[in-house]
Amino acid sequence: MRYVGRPVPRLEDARLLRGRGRFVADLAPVANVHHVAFVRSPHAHAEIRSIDASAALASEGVLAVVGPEDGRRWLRPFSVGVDGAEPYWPMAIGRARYVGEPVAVVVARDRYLAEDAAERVRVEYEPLPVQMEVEGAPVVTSRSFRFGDPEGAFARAAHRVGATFRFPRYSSTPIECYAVLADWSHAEEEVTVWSNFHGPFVMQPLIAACLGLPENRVRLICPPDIGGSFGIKSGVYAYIPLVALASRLAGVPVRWTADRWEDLVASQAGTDRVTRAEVAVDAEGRMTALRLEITDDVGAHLRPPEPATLYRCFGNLTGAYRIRDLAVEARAVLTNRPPTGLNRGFGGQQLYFTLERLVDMVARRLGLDAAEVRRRNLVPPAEMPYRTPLGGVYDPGDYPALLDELLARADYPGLVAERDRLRAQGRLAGVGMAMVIDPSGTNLGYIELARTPEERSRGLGKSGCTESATLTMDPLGNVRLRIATAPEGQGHETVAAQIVADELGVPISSVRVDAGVDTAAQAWNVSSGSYSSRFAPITSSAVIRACAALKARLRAIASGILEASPDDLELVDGSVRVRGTDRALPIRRVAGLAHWDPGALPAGVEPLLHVTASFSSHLARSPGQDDTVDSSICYGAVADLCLVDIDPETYEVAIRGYWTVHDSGRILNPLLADGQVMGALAHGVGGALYEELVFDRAGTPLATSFADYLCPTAREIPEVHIHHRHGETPFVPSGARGIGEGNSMSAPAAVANAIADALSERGVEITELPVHGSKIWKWLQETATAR
Amino acid sequence: MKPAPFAYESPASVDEALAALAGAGEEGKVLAGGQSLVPMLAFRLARPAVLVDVNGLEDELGGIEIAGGQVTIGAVARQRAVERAGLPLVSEALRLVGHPTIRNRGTVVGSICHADPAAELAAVALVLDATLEVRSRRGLREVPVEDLLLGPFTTSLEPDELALRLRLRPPAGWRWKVLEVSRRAFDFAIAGVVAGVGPDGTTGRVGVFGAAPRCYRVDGPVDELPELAVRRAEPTSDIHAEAGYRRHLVGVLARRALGALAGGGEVRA
Repeated sequence: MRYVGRPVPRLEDARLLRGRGRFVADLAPVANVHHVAFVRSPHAHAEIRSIDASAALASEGVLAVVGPEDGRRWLRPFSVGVDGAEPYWPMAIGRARYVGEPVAVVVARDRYLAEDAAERVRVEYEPLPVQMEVEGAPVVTSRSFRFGDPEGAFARAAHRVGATFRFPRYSSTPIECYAVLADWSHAEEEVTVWSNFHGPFVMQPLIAACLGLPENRVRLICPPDIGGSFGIKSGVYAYIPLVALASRLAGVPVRWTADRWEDLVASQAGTDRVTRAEVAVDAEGRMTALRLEITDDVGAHLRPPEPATLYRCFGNLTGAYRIRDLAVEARAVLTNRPPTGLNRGFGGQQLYFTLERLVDMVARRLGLDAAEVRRRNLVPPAEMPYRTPLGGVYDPGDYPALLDELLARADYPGLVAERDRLRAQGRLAGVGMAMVIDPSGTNLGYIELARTPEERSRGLGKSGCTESATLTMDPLGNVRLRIATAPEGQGHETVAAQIVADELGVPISSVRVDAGVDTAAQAWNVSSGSYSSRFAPITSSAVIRACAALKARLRAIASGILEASPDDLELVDGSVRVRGTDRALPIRRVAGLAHWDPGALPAGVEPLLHVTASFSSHLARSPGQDDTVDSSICYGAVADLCLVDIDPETYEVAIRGYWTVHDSGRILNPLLADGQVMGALAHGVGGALYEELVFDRAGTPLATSFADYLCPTAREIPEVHIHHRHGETPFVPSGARGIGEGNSMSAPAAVANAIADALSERGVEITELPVHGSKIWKWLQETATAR
Repeated sequence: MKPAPFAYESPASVDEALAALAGAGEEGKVLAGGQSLVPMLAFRLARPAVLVDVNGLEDELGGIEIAGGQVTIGAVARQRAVERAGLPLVSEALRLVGHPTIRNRGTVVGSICHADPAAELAAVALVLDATLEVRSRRGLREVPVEDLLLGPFTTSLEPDELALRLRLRPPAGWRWKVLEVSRRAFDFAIAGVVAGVGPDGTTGRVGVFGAAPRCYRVDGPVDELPELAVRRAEPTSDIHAEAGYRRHLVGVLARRALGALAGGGEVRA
């Protein structure tokens, strides 16, 4: 029996559903753990005049208060990926730049006492002017790109369609918030940190540098279970030096478990973006050139890996369309909001909201059907693999067939008829679609685009997508796999076990997977971790490589007894067998031989049943002198269609049906794949209709609990029809592309297009999100007044 | 998000509870279902010196009685229990009050005393001529909910007073409809109405929530009620809705609710 491709239930669920997961807060690896509470700035921008911690230090159970002077003395600013940017300290030193920025760290016997004492830390602030508008905010990094001949294409265009789009700032609100437990060893001058960090592990050297320690003296342990992240928890790295310093100065191990307020106010958010966009269109509706002027609000600091949101989708900036001429201005500005970073979809939702809205505007301008405009512009299968003008290399896919399947599955004409029927009843109804390219498996080199070719030429090149896997076989033939992904609930243990079981020809019950990370005890590299939907294309491929290495060793070991060449041996049904015969040895015999009687092995055969292998794609290269980069290893495609129904008086928006078709390559586990699709789609619906981190003009956050930060619940998510086109990508050994982010990118665009369709006859254009009743009411008031 | 220090009292009787409140002076706070108070404690927005937990007073204050055209709901009767007590209007309103797990803990009297301007239950109490039985060591008084609600999260209860039970007085022969608009199912209402039409079919009442500093009620001829309701609105803007949208919704929802009742909706109190 083969496991890959089947809906194997998650191996993780038994422990999770019984409350036996092991999260950071469940770990008690050391004694005498104390607790941390942060003193956080109540001002969005203020000079810190003085700090008086004497009352806090005199409070019950308090061991230490770590203030800005301690930070300045013991820490170093994080290195920032852009030349000339302000250094980024993980706490406010001299000046606080957003509400919630850490100003001091209180260490006490428990969290209650720590919070009591934190209130007694007297901080004298002198408020400074606050910058909340993106327009006019200081630019921290800016680059111009030009590919092909955009000026010529716009000059020749029959139509030019453009608008300014505003994409909101929102999060992913993992159930478990940031958690760090740090144990500073004064004996060894090193620190051990348990945290629900999940990569990219490029942050490990950054943490070490901030602490002034060599990298091999920062041991980072990520537990087996992490309660969600969707990118947000990658930002916990910035707190690790603070908690480690608190442990160092207090002389005890300390723990911080963030609460929901801290998560919403001072963790990490997706980047809000303003895009001025224009597309050149010929008389037949073919888009020939694109002009994008992108401004990302990265908040108060350019916190690594920002300005990555600007460039994460660089290779696929033209989406599913054959647009050859581009002019791109990419800049990030600083405001007095918290720092931004990874958030499921990472740059994709911002991009496709603009691009897919533009396509619909083109359709309306030309009087064409939205599906027809897309069909005329899709990259044709004959041009696969397709190299975009920006350097992205799309692995083969049939985008027109994907669109056709979507239209067939959703009964597009029927859906349009249903819309018209609702309209006839007086409802505001609309149909909307989106087609997106879903990049997976980051090439970390893309971040280097923030530097000019000249700046890049002065340093080492950067690229990479490496992942590793280690397999160990015990004397009875059971295997243990170790990977460095620190999953947050995706089910990596299950899928990795499926792969190992198939590759080695053993039952899945004999495979144990460790996916938690210990940087002192396993293979890892700076690319390791779970982000950019890299498990399916990258980690899975590393697991396949490790299996191949172990198989080779098992064949060599068995070749003596079976009196056959290793090349003639195969692993099937728990045995090593001579191909085409019934001569076979159970794997446990082979393993036992290697462990117990290595003297009996053929000369030169390595007896150790412990192999580490890696996968890294040759496609991941540093950006070229012409600023092209293949920013991802694989590019899936997603096509979405939905029907929205808006109440004509209350303007409440309801999604009446949602169809999504994916081309994600090989589906490793359909149960988990569909789970990922639903999760990403719910997140996308959240961004379209509900979720927003709102601030007032003084920079005070207004969505600081789940009473005001509205995540869609089961009641808000429509019935979703999920379909997959089957095939394998030839670009990676696993044949699988990522699938966990596509609908986070597509759903905001599809829903926005449907709402725009619904309101099209009322003179309202959708250029911002989220959309809800009050906004629609206001827009209709404005258009009524304008008329 | 841990509460500031407080003393915890768990009285075994109403008398003990009143003594605890009297002893706490201005600094006492009653804990019933805790669905609003506990988050406020965690945010340190509420910082009582003494928390008087009345959840142990089930025997004295847990009852729900329906007798003589009057409904009496004890201070620790859970919303979920009231929802299942055979009171159609109250049930319909309760189903809009938070998720079922919240209603399993939350109390009807606690919601009234919390005086949230967007509370469905306060609007229901207003249209059903409700009064609150309130006691302190100084004595007993019956406060009309109309006089109880002063403004957002502000009531006329004195710090030493404990609300014992709510009395609803549904007028005979009336039919009711609750409508609200919220961002998501079970969220606080952006605006909502509890509309009622009397046995003559021409006079009615509308209770409005979410559209003013406190819930309010208007009475009059059915045709004029939407306009009256809109005129009394003093909505504010927040991140979920602009004031003008709230005012707009009051009119739309009042018209719709009354329209549904004109069509013969049979929801009794």
